[in-house]
Amino acid sequence: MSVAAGVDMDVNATDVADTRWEERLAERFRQIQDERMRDVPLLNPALNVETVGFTDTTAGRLGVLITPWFMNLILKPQGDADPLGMGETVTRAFAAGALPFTGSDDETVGSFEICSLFSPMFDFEDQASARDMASSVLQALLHPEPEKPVLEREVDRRAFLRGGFLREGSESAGR
Amino acid sequence: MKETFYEVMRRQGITRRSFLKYCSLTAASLGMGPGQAMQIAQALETKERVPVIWLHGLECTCCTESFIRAGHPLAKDVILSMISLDYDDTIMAAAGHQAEEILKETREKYDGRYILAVEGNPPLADDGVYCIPGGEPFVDKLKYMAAGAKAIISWGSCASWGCVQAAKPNPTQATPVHKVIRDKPVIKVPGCPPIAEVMTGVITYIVAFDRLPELDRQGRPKMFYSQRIHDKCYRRPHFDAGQFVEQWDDENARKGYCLYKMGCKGPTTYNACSTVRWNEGVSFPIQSGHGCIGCSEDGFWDKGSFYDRLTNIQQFGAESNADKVGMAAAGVVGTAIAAHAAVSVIKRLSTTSSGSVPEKSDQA
Repeated sequence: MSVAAGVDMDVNATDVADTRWEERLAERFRQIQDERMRDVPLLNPALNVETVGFTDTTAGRLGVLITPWFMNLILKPQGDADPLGMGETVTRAFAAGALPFTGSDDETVGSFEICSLFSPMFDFEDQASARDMASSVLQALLHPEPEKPVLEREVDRRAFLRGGFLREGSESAGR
Repeated sequence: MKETFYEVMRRQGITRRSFLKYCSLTAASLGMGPGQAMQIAQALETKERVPVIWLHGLECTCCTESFIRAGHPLAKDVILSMISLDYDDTIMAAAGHQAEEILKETREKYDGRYILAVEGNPPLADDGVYCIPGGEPFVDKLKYMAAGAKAIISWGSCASWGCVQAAKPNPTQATPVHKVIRDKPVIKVPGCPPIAEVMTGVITYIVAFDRLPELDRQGRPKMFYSQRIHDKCYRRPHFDAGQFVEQWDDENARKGYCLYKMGCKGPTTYNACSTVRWNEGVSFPIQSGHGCIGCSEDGFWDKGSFYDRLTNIQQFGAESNADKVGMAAAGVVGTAIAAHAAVSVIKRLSTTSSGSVPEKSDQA
C-alpha cells in the first residue's frame, strides 16, 4: 500500500477543462445503468445517477457519485503520476483520516479512483436523502469538526442535577 | 513467583527480537501505531500470564487448523506458548484423565481470570448426548469452565452462530455459545474458519490490554468485522461498471470481472478477507475466482445455494450494517442526522481503524 500525500482543498486550481469530467462521468453511468445494469436486481428505483460536490483538491477532482446501486467517493487524479491500475489500492490522507481508494478504468471517462461509501442503496428513501449524505460525507472528510474538548473538571452532583453537563464548556453550576 | 507472558515466550525459545517483531505485526493488524506496539510488548513483559483454555464442541477443527497456520510463524509460536501449556485437546501433549485434570486445576487456580476459547458448539438435544468429549456432555463441560472464565471467545461460525450442524432441521439442537452462556461476555469471531491473523489479533489484544476489543451490535470485534467484503473488494470497480462474470470460465471471468451473478455474497458479508486476506495475505476466495460464500454470516447454510444470486439484500444479514440506523434516520430527519452518519461512515472506512489494507491487488 502506497500512502499518497495528504489531500487538501486546492484553492488555486484553475483547470477548467476537467470541471466537465464529472458530467461525462455521470452520463457514462447513466448509460451503464440502462445497459449493463438493466437486469440486476440491486438497484434502488427511487434513485438516479448524480454527481455531488466535485471540487479541486491537491490530489485531483474529488466528489461523490450517486447511482441506484452504489455511492462512492470519486477521485480523478491530476498531474503526471501513473494512474492506479484496475483494482490496485492506495491510501489517501484527508483532514478527517486516511481512506483507501481503488483504481478504476473506463473506456469513456478514463482512469479514476473510487472509495465505496454505500452499496447497495436500499436504505435511501429518495434522491434528496442520498444527496444529503453525499454532501455530509464530503464536508466531514474535508472540513471535519474538531473533537469536542473533554471536560477537565468533574461535574459535581448539584451541577449534574441542574443539567450543568449539558452546557458545553461552561463552568459547573453550583460551585 | 508469577510468570509473565514474556518469560513463557523466552522459555519457549523465542528471541527478544522476534518477540518485538511480533508485537509490531500484531499492532499493525489491529490498526494500531508503533506506540501501541510498545504497549503490547510492555504488557506482555510485565503482566502475569493469563491462561487460555480452548474447548472443542461440535466442530471440524478448521478454526484450529487456521490458527496454527497464522501468517507470520511468530504469531502462532507466541500464541501457542501462551495457550498450549494449559488446555487444547487438539494440540496439547497431555491426554486422557491427565488432560481433563488441567481443566479442574485451571478453574480452581485462576478462577475469574482465565479466557475460555470455544471452537464448535454444544448440541442440547437428548441431554447433550451428541457430543461427549472426555466422557461427559460438552454442554456440561462448557458450563463448568465458563462459570470461572473472565470472558469467552466464540471461535468460528459454529460457536458464534451454529453453522452447518445447526442448519435446518438441526437434529442435535446444536446451539451457539452465547445462547447457552448468558452471564459472561462473549466475543464472536465468526468465519468458517476465521482468518488466522484475526484470531491471533483478538487473543493478543485481550491478554495484552486486559480488556475486550470494541464489539459491534452482534458481538464481533469492530476492528475486523466492521467492513463488508464488497466495500474493499479489488473487483469492486467491475461491479460499479456493471461488468459481471456470466458463466464460469467465460471471457469475463478471465478478465477478473465481478462475481455477483455467480452468487458472490460479498455485498452482505462482514469480514476482513478482502483486506487481511489468507495464507500470509496471498489471496482470498474472490481473488481465486470464486464468489464469497458468506461463511462468517449468521445462518449462511440456510440462505440458499452458494451460487444463488443475491436478489434481496435484506435476506442475508444486511440488518447488521452499523450504519443502517443512521441512514434510515437520515431519510426521515434530514441533514443533521446525515452529518452524524457521515462521520460514522468515514470512521468505518478509515484504514487506521480496521485491518490492514494490502499493498497491491492483482487481477485474477
